Amino acid sequence: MRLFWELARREFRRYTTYRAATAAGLFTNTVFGFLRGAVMIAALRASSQGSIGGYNMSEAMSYTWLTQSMLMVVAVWGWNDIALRVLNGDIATDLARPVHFQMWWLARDFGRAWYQVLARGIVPVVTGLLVFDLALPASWWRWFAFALSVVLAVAASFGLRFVMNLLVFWTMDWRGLSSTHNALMSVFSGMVLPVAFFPHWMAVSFRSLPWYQALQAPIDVFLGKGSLVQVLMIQFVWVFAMLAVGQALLVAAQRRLVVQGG
Amino acid sequence: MIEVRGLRKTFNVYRKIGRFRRERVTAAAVDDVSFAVGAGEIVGYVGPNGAGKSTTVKMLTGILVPSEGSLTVAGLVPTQQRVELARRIGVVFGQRSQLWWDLPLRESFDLLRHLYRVDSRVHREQLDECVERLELQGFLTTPVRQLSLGQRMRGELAAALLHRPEVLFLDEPTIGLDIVSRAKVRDFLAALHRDRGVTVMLTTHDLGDIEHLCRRLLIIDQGRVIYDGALAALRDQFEPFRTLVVDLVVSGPAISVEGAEVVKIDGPRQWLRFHREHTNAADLVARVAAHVELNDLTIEEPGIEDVITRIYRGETA
Repeated sequence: MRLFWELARREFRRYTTYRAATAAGLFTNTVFGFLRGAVMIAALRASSQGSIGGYNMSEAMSYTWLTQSMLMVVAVWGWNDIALRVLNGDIATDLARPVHFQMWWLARDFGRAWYQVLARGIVPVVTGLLVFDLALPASWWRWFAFALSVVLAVAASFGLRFVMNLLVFWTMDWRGLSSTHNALMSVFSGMVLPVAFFPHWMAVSFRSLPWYQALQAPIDVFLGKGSLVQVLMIQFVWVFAMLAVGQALLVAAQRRLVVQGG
Repeated sequence: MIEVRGLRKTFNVYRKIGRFRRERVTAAAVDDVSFAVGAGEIVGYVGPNGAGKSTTVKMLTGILVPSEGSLTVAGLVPTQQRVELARRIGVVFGQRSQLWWDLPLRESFDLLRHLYRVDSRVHREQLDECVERLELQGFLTTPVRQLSLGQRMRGELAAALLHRPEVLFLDEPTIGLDIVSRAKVRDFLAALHRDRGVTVMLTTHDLGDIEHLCRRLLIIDQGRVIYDGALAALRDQFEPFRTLVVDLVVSGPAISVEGAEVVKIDGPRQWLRFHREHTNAADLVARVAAHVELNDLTIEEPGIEDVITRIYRGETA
């Protein structure tokens, strides 16, 4: 447990060393918030009932600014720390440590996520609050459930990213995996459009897939869409399922491991 | 301490045959390797690039799963007890880094205390010792990415030793280092071995490392062990010839004596090659001196480098 904390702390510190990148990213996230907000407003105004998929204007604004805030926290567009180490062979030193490989990276990912909450999460959501009318949870326990759901979303997203990164053992190329990951994420996670905007049968099936757990699930908790307990339960199950898949993949990868560069 | 028997590691390589078809070829990186290393030994493991050195080290540390054969390190089976083994061994891959690139060196060391669950007093002692002997004081708070290669390698060595491992695997620890840094690393390893009796398995291309540190040498080529023995005996086994170099008072034709032949003449200087078992050097000198008048003479032993070069080239038995 102490090790988990120490790892998370170091990963957090590692990210704090790149301030210019953080500032540039934050600016982009906020600008895109306005852009996506404008599109959302136009779409809702054009619809006959003034709502789409059960989202009214303030809910749609909450969705927009929350996704902009959480984008980096749950690393929607992936991350390739492990894949790069596989490709350049540094993975050998990771495997020579007396520690569970997946837990090592999970701990670090929580450090990364917490940094992104502070550095990239707060400003977009506050901007949204100041400029637009956002729908907010009515009770303290829904805020609490939202926080819990974000933690699960980070873990679910980590599980997905871990699997995608390990697949590089087989493909020996990250670009194909990266674009596959991004394509799946944009559609199924609710990043580009809320899952509820899709036809009912599609929305229902999306909610049972892993990508939904990484982004749209906490937003649904925040907005009070669907059964709160059910959403959290499904997230929970997927976190464990993805971590188990990752672990199985790791064992298989070690069997066929080729450490690059001798 | 290390026990390896009939170790093999094969990889599948795909070769293109025709436009779409591929053929699977099995290549052995390590092919039936056996050896044993006793506690407190320091063994040099050398061979040309691609000989299977690193692959062996990776199997010994539990990173790679062997295709065949058995191995134990400190009584443990590496791939089955990887985590437990990792607590008892130290590993340095000269071309890899286990330090945190973006953080001060000290942060990596502190993390290792938690990683190996080392008592903080023991950790402090060990760290102080490493800092002193490896002269790390000047850059403990410098981010690793700003360190020179020599500084970083000393940091890597310290990182591998903080948990007081029984066995140390060093895979090319002096690669790319300048003469001074290399000497520092060597002296440190020699002292470590002398004072602590740590078992060391050292992979290197630098024969200076071997001559300074290793009494025993394992040479591997094309996945097979082709020599296992003392460094001094290597010369005798693979290179039985010596050269007697004589400076004559007056230049003359090639000296003709029994048991040696002239291989080179340069003015008054002549090189005579002789077999160290068949010809006694003192007798040979006496015979030559009886023939011609000498200014000076030396007997040259072949350099270890020449011997190993010839072994790699397959020019010896």
